[in-house]
Amino acid sequence: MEILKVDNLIQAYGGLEVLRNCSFSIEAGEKVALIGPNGAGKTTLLNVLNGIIAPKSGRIYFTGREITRLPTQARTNLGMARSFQITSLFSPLDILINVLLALHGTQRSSYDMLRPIDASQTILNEAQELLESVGLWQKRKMNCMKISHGEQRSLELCLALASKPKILLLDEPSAGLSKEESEKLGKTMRGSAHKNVALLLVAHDIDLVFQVAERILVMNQGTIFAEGTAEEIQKNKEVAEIYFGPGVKFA
Amino acid sequence: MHRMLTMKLLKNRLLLHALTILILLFLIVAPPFLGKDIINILMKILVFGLAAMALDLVFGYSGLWSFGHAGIFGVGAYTVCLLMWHFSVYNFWLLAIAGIVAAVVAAAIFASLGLRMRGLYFMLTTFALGELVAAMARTFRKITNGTDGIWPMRYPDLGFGITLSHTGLFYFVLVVVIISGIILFRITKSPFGYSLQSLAENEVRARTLGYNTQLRRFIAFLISGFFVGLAGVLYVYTNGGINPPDAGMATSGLLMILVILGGVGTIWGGLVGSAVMNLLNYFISIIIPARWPIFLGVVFILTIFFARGGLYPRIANACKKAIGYGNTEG
Repeated sequence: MEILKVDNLIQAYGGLEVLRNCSFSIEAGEKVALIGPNGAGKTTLLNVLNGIIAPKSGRIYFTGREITRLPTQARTNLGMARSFQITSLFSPLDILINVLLALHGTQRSSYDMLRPIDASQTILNEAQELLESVGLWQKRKMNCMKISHGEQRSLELCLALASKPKILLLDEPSAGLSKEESEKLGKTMRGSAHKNVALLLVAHDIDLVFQVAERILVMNQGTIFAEGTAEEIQKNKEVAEIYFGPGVKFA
Repeated sequence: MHRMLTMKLLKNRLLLHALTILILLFLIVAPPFLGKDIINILMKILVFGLAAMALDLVFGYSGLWSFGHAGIFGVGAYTVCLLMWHFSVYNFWLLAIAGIVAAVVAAAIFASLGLRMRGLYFMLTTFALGELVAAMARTFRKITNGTDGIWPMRYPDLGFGITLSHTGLFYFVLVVVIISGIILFRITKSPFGYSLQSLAENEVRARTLGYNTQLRRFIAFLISGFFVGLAGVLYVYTNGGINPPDAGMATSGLLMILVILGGVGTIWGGLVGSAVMNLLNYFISIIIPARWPIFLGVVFILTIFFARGGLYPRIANACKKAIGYGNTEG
C-alpha cells in the first residue's frame, strides 16, 4: 500500500526553480533514501512534504488523503514525523522535557494546564523507553545543549519517533557523527522496533544509505531522475555523471 | 539515589522557602499594626505584581512582547468603575466577573490582530491597541469622565452584608494574588506551559511535534488577559478608582520593567520586581521627593548590568549558595 505519493511538485524561489515536476511514492514500511548533489532540492522537498513550505503546484497524498495544503501540525497528527539537518532541540529545557513535549504533542494531554508535564506515568514510561534505547535516560535531567553532538542527534531522532509516526522524514541524521556513531544510528533505524515505519532518508553519508535503504531515489536539479536498489544506482552512468561530471570514464 | 536527589533538591530550596514563609508571616501578622499608607503600598505591590506575573506568561514564556497589557488592565478596571458609576452595581462578584470577561474579550481582540505579526510588529500593534483604550477613556467624557477618571472609592461588597475593611481588603488581595500566582506557575510546568516555551524557542520544531502554535499563543494571551483583568478589578478597590494613564503606555512599560527587573520567564519574578520597585519608590521619595524616575533609571541599568536574568533568579541562587550548594542555574 502506498503511504506517501508525490505528484508533479513544483516549487520556485523567485525565478529559481527548486523543484520541477518532482514525483515519486513510498510504500508503507518501506525504507527509502534520497540522495543527490548539494542544491538538488532535497531539503526543500522535505520542507514541502512536511508543510513548512507550500508548493507552487502539484499534490501530496499521505495515507490516501490529500495533504498538500494541510498545516505541519496536522500532518504530524496524521503520522508524519521529521528530524532536522541542523540539530533542532528546545535549548533551555532538559532532555526529559524535550522528549515529554514530543510525546504530548499529538495527544489531548498537550492542552493540560494544571497537571505537571511529567504527571502521567504512561507517558513517563514511554519517555524512559525512548531515552533508554539511545542511552540517554541517565542524563535525562541535563540541559539538551550540554550533551555531545552525537547524543543530540540521537535525541533529535527520539523526538521524531515519539509521535509513533507512519513515516519518518530524516534530514541528514548522521551529520557530524563519527563512523561508529553513524553505524549505530543505522542499526537503530533498521531495528525491529521501527519495522512498520516508512523512512525517507536524506543523506550524503553513502555508507548509511546503503546500510538502511531498500530503494534509492536520486535527485538532481529539482527532479527525481533515477531510482532503484543500491546496486542499480551504483551501476547507473547518469548518476555517476552528476556526481563526478560528464565524460568521466569508469573502468 | 532517588531519595538523595529529593533531599538535595529540598535543601537547595530550603532557604528560599524559609524566606518566602517569613515574608508571608509578616504579611499575615503585621497589617493590623501598619499605617494605611504602608498597606496601600503593599496592595499596590500585589496588584501590579499580579499584572506583571500575567504579562510574564506571554512575554517571558511565549515570546510575545505585549506592550499593550495596561490596555487590558484598563478595560477590566474601567468596566468595574462604569458599572458602579452608571448602573450602581456594587456586588463584588458581579463586578469581578464583568471586569474579567471584558478584559478577556479585549485580550482576544488584541491577540487576533496582533498575532498576525511577530516580534517588534506584534509589540507595535499591542502598543497601538493599548493606547486606543487610554484614548477612548480620555475622549468619551460623558461615559468615562475624561481625564478626571472615575473614583468610586469603595471597598468590596462581598454580598451577605459583608463589606471589607481596609485591612480586610489587603488580606483579600493577598489571597487572590497568591492563588493566581500559584495557578500561573503551575501552568508553566504543565504540558501547555512547556509547549509555549517550545514554540517561542523553535516554532517550526514545535509544529513538527504536532503543536498548533498559533492557537496556543492565542490561548496563552487569553489566560494572561484573564489575570491582568483580575488585577484591574482589584486595582479599582486598592487605588480607589482609575484614570486614563493607568491604561496607557506608561503603565504597559512599567509592567514590562517589573517583569525584566524581577526575572523574565519565572512568573514570581513579576511579584519580586513589583516589590523592589514600589518599596524603593516609597522610601526614596520620602528622602528625596520627586526624583524617583531618575532612581528608577539607575535601578534598571544596574539590573541589566549586574543581574541580567532578573532579581528573582539571583535571589534564589544566592539562597542556594548561602546554604552551601553551588550555582544551579535554570
